Amino acid sequence: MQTDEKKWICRRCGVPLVKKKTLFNYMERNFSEDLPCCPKCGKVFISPELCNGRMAEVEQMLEDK
Amino acid sequence: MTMQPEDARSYTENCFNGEPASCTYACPYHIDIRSLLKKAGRGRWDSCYKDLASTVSFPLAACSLCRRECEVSCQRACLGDEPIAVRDVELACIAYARSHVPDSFSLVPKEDRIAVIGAGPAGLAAAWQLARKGYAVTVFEKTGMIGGTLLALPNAEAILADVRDAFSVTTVEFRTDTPITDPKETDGFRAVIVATGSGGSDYGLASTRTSAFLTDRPGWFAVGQICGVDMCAALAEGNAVPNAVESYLLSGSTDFSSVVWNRANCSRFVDHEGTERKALTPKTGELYTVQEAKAEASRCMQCNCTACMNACEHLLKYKKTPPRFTLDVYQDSQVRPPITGHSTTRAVYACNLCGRCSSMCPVETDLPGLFCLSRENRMERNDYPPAFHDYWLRSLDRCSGASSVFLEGSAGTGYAFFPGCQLGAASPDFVLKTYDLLRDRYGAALMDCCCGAPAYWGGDRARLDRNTEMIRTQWESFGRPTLVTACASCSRMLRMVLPEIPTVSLYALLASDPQVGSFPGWDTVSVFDPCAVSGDPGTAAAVRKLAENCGVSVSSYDSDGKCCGNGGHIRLADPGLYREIVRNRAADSEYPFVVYCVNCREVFRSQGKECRHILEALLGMDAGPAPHLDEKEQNRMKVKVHLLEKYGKERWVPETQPWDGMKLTVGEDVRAAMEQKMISDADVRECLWNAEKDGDGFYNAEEDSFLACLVRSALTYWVRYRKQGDGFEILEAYCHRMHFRENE
Repeated sequence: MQTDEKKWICRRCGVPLVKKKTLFNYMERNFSEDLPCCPKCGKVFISPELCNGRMAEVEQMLEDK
Repeated sequence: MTMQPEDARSYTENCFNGEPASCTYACPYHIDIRSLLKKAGRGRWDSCYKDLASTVSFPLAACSLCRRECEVSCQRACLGDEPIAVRDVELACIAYARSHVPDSFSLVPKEDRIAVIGAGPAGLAAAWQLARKGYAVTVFEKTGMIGGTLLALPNAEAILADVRDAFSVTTVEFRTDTPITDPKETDGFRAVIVATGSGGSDYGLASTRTSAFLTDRPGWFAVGQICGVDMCAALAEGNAVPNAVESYLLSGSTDFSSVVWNRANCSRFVDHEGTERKALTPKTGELYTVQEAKAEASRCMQCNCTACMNACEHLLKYKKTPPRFTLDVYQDSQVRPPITGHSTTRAVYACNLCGRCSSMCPVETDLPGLFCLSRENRMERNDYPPAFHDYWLRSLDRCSGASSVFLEGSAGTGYAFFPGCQLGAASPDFVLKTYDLLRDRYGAALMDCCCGAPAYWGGDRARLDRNTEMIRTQWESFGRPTLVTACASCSRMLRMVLPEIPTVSLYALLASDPQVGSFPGWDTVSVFDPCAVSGDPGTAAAVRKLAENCGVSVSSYDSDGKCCGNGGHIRLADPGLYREIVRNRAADSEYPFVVYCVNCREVFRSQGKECRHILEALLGMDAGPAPHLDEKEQNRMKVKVHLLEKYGKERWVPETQPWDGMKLTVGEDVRAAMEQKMISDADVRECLWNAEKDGDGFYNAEEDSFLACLVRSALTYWVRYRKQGDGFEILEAYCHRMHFRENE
């Protein structure tokens, strides 16, 4: 549960994170996903579950082609 | 430079995978017998019948006229077996197919009208095949009924029934009792096929026809017995002429038709050694029973060269043939994402480039060359997954930059030791002790830098060229010595990019001057030859001699050019395949491995396979377990510091980064995950340093932990950590290849 985004705050701004549409790009393909971000400085938070799960899946899918 | 189709094709142009088998060449109708027998072996009679009909139009007629020419070319004969009774299997297909009426499908009718003169075997086949292509066909027959010379066959009634079934789904117009005496009667038809049979009128054209059946009269073709061929060939020509007609109608020429078979037979080589012999299936009646036909069809050896695919885990996994890869590599070179997509990214980067496939290939197909071409092309076009090779390319820059070391030997020396970047990384003593020995014996100089293999494997031509130039300059400044290589990949690389540099294997040199050592605790060993040594039996023999000098007996094991898994740097491109290859190699021999490539050592030690480098025995050292990423970097630096101090008489202090001093505590599980993703402590430190410097990242008060991020061009790293006294406890490290955009 350590990566439950509700438990994290932006270290610099000291505020809780909110979901915001984030744009991704890999191998010339673009995607978007609602991800927790700092509402003030916009810093994006990527959890290990997202990184090793869905992001890895999409990366692999594009590399398989 | 833009890749041309022939650039890709040049690597595989001699490959004959997928080409028709010898039986198909011999068959006058060029039936795909291999595919037919495969289906027949599974009892798929309906499908067999359809395939037969699409090639020969009327299967029963074709079988009745068949001269069993395929049997002469059947490769079963190579084993001493009787050829496969193809005709009997075909008759079974005809007998057991549930229907002889072809499938009816809606095809947009073509406007071109075509006349066929004569309703014998050639004319009927031409008419049927053209009708299947959607043309409006009219058949003119001078007699009152169709069939021509087919009517003289003993089973004419059954054949004609099949012919009627075949035409039942077409709109071919038959005009019987309509002789064509004047060619003008066919005005309005765009093409005319003269198939008037023996004794018919050829309108003075038969002798003028080309190999694609076109005559001197524009749009007029001549086929069949009127041209002096027998009934069997007449049927074959009737089936073939529609391709020529279509090519002619579309382009005004028959050049684009495939009616001409360029070889009378399959002259290619397919190795059947080791294939089980199987006797001809006897027929209990006039016709094969279902079981008999299936058994006889199953005798087919499916002649097709798959020598490379049988020899390689990569090709077995990706299930693509060399011609297919050639096409995919070319297509990928033309891709314009996101409009068009790639076909074969991972497969191109998952090849070890060991060259075993080429050594197994009877015609020297060069798939590694093809994959290197693709890797290079894609990097040039900036259309590649940078994360696959980023670690090794950055490592090359360090090895040929900050941690490279060059020491001139005594005047007039003929040798310079070229240990390769990984030898010192595995253990500094490998380089230090070997260099001491070579310096003592031969007054050798030292050139410790990267050979460029990571750039070659990563498709980075510019980096490779820079590195090559650096080596050339250094070598010339040292008076052009012979390079003593400790790594077979370095030798192979140097031979390729700098053929003017003479090289000698360290092990061949050591064996020439008897060197004794020991392998404590081992009696029998297997020598694992690195894939890059393939074609250099001298070095392989030298290592065996050295091993025997160390008091062990060497088993007969032969790695046969197989790669340990490290070649081509596939570990990040296809981790699953990498692990499979390493597991397979480790299990190949029951005995411990003696290796003479330090990459093989690292791979096998990481897998838990008992393994020592020959130098460990000769130098009386134990290099210990495989080092992790940061230990390798540190080891390389140690080599440089030590050598410069000892022989360069200078004190050299490596350049430091502000984060170098940060203390990290990394648990075993976290370390294993980092190694798997190839995240080094240096990456983690830089990430932490940036976050701590600016108070950046995220904070979790509940567990008092921080999350920091470091964005690099190929990868984005994330580190979750806790402050611990004056250091940091690393809780987790992960990375992704995608880029994200903040503040949008």
